Amino acid sequence: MKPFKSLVESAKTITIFVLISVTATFLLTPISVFADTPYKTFTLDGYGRVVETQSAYIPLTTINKAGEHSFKNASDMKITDDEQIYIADTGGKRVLVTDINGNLLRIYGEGVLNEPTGIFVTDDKYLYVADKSAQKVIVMDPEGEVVKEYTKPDHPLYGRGVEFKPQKLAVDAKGIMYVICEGNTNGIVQISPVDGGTFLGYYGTNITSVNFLDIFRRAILTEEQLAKLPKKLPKTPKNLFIDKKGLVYTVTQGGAQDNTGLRKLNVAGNNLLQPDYTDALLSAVSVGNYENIYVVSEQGYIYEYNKDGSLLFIFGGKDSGHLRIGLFQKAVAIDVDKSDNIFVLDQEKNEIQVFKPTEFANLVHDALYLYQSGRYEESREPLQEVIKMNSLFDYANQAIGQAYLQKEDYPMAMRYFRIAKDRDGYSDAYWEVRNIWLQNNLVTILLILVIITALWELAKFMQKKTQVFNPVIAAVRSHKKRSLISKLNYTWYFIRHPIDGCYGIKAENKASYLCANILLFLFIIVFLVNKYAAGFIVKTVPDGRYDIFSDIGGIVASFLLFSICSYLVCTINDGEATFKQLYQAYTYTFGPYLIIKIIIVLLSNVITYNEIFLVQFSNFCLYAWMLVLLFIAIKELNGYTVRETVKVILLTVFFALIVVLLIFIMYVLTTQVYDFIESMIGEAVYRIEQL
Amino acid sequence: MKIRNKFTGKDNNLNAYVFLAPYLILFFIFILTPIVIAIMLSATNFNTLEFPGFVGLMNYVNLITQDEIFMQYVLPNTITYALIVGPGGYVLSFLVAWALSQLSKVPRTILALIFYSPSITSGVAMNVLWRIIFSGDQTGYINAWLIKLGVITEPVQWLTESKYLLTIMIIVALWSSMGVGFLAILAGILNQDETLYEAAAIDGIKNRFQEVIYITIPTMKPQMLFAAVMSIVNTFQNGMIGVQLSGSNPTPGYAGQLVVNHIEDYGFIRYEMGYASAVSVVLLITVYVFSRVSKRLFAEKEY
Repeated sequence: MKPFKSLVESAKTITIFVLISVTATFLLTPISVFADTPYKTFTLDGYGRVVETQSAYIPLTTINKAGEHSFKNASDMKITDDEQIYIADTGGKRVLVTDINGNLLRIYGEGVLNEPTGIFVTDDKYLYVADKSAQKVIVMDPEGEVVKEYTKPDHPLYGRGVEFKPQKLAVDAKGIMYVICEGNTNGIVQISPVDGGTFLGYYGTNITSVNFLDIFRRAILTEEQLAKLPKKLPKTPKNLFIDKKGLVYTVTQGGAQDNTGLRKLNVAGNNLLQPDYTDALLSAVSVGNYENIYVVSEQGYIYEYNKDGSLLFIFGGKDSGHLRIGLFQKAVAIDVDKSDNIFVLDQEKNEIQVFKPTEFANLVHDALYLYQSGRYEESREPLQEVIKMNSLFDYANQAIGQAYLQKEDYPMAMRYFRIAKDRDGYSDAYWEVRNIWLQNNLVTILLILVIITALWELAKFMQKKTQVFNPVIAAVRSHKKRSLISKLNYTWYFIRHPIDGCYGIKAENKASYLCANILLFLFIIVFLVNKYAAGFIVKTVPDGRYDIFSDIGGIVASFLLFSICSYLVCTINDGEATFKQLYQAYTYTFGPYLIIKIIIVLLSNVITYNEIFLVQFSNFCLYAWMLVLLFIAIKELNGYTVRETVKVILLTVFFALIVVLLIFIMYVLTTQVYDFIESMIGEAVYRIEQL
Repeated sequence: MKIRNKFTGKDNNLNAYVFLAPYLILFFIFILTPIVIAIMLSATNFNTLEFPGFVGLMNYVNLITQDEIFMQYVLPNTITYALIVGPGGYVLSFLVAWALSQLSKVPRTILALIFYSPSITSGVAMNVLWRIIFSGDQTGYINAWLIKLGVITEPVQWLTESKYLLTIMIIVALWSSMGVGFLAILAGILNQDETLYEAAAIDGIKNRFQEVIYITIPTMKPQMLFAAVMSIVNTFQNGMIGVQLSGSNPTPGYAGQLVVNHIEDYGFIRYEMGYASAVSVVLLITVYVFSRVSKRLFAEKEY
């Protein structure tokens, strides 16, 4: 949340500046969509980062009065299908009904209601009100007559000492009420209208998160000790919404860590949603016309998700006293009308703000609608339009990829998945591409293999009969004998026989600085190849990003740091090795990396997530091998025991950290001195000019 | 081998063949013939009812290009399983055998029997042990334990959920990996020449680890090779674990489908014998290639 907050802060100052400049040049330039809003709109990119996009919704108007009645501490709002707005006017102890323009239609519950905090309107216009201080749920018919009142259920499972303070509620098609009660951590109270109100049970209870410490405590502490610890209680949901299918959506404040911030519950109360990103202070939820989910947080950030919990847009924000339209002081309710306009109720400002979708958002919605109804082919057109407007809108790229995947156009699907950074989709599409390629080329591959084997056997046969390759073999042999080549070849021996290999370095002069530096150079090359040319599904850096010089610098610096530090630590710990020997042995430990990593890079370009295990396993073997080599090198070259080696390695790491810290401090001090001298000179020049 | 006949004074190989005959006959009937027939059947579309018709390499081409189950689940599963269980079980066998060899005779024999028993009683053990431990309701040991610690709130279907099955199979396989190879290694360690260790101690070997690296492993290369080959063959053949654990073939979501299950699926459930033979020939080749590789790694070599 933090980076996002600071982004919004800076966004605010920028937008204010932009607004001033835009109003100044208003007559000259057409209206810019960006400048219309006092907030920036964000979306998530394929890496899960919050990035800016163009405005999805623009503030349209505000409603702060129902006819002549202004709101007082209003805390809930619902919009019916025929576009009437019901407002729970908590402070005014009534429910106001207006049309979409704010003209008063009806008033409910005057003199009946005490503190209406939550309302729900059924399709046949029955009004359910959660009255917190009256501790009742009151049902009124369309004329405003109280039809029914539900008080605290006297069911033993409800809990004796538990109070009934209804805060928000929703009612499903069968008339079953889902009531959120203040301070009730057991879950949502489910009441059926049968027999004047039957308590059905608690529904959709939030789960408390368990961390490692909790598990550890439960494993070792006794029952009595556990009882003394503060109890972890699940958080009470803040608000809820029920959609046309009867799925219940809940938002919970502070539930972001437990993954309960935004939940979509089925009949059994199981969560179906894993949102990409949630706020810590969500206050209301609603579902739009394409099963897209709208959530608003107390600070006024509005989130729009698709039905699977992928974040589409974030916009809005906190009003820090400027009373700007589009910003909020305390948003408490959200709902959507038929034409996708968003209505948000602000309890502090006592007004409803209306947002209108831009063309961009409309296109996204069109595509969502088509895509969700399975018309992938048709959904591509609006998606392409979306991408034309914002080519970095990863959600659209991913959806196009999916559309191509459904259409079985795999290369195109791969392309779009790659743009959208969707590794799973990319892997699936690539699997198909590879499968087709295999089907077409398998015979050729087999043929080539057979020919190569045949040629090899033929060559062996010829050699046996006529010795025709003798000059070649002799050349290779003499080549191998050359000093440098033999030293490079020694890598192969070293990585398989490290103990002997260390003896060779120490006593038989098997290595040289030149050879070591060549190996280091090769390591750098393989490292870079691995970093930038690995297959997409294992690549760790974004496409198109290259930091080659800092990579090289980093490798050389850390290698030198480690060599020097370990040499210094070894010498004061009775080590026998010289710096030269350590340096050479360390470069030889790169051997497995040079061989295996190249294979891994090649492999990673032709594998999918199905075979990802191969890469993971070879990486594991590779690093384990290198560590063993390093350990043996330090041990054997210095003549240490195992214990001494471990000690020396830990000391080296510690020493290296100290050195890095020292270098950092030196750097900071030098820049300070440099700044000081620079300003001294500047001052002197200024004084001299003044004379 | 040539044996000079006492009476005629001529060279004669017949006696040697007579001595070899029992083995040769059994080998021919029970090993060579089935392999040859399998190879022959793999080029047909045999369905156990009609006379097999020749289809050439069609089965092999289909296996690689058309059989998505094979390429998407069976092959990756088998490779994962074999790469972890093969070397893992091998290392485990060696470590346990070495540890047992340090004991005196009676406890060693008892413990060796205990360690060896899982590999011969896997079917029974599966039912009385692992299916209870990983049972999918809250009475299963793992579930009960995790619920008690609060890690999970409701029981997990360990054996039928596709994301856990392979991992559990690997754990079970490692547990039962101390088979014939383990016994061979144990015998190899016990038969070593004690004088070597004494000599090494005089020469400056300091600890047990050095003894293992410098003496134990180099002197028992033949047993190590045998154990490695056995371990590879076993892992590739050991396909029944997944089916036994999950109780169904194909395993849920093909999560624990290994080559052997695939062969059984095609051979004895769908009765596509020709195709099943082709898969088993591929398995045979894979096992052969892996044994060759391990031979090169462990066989005697001079540098």
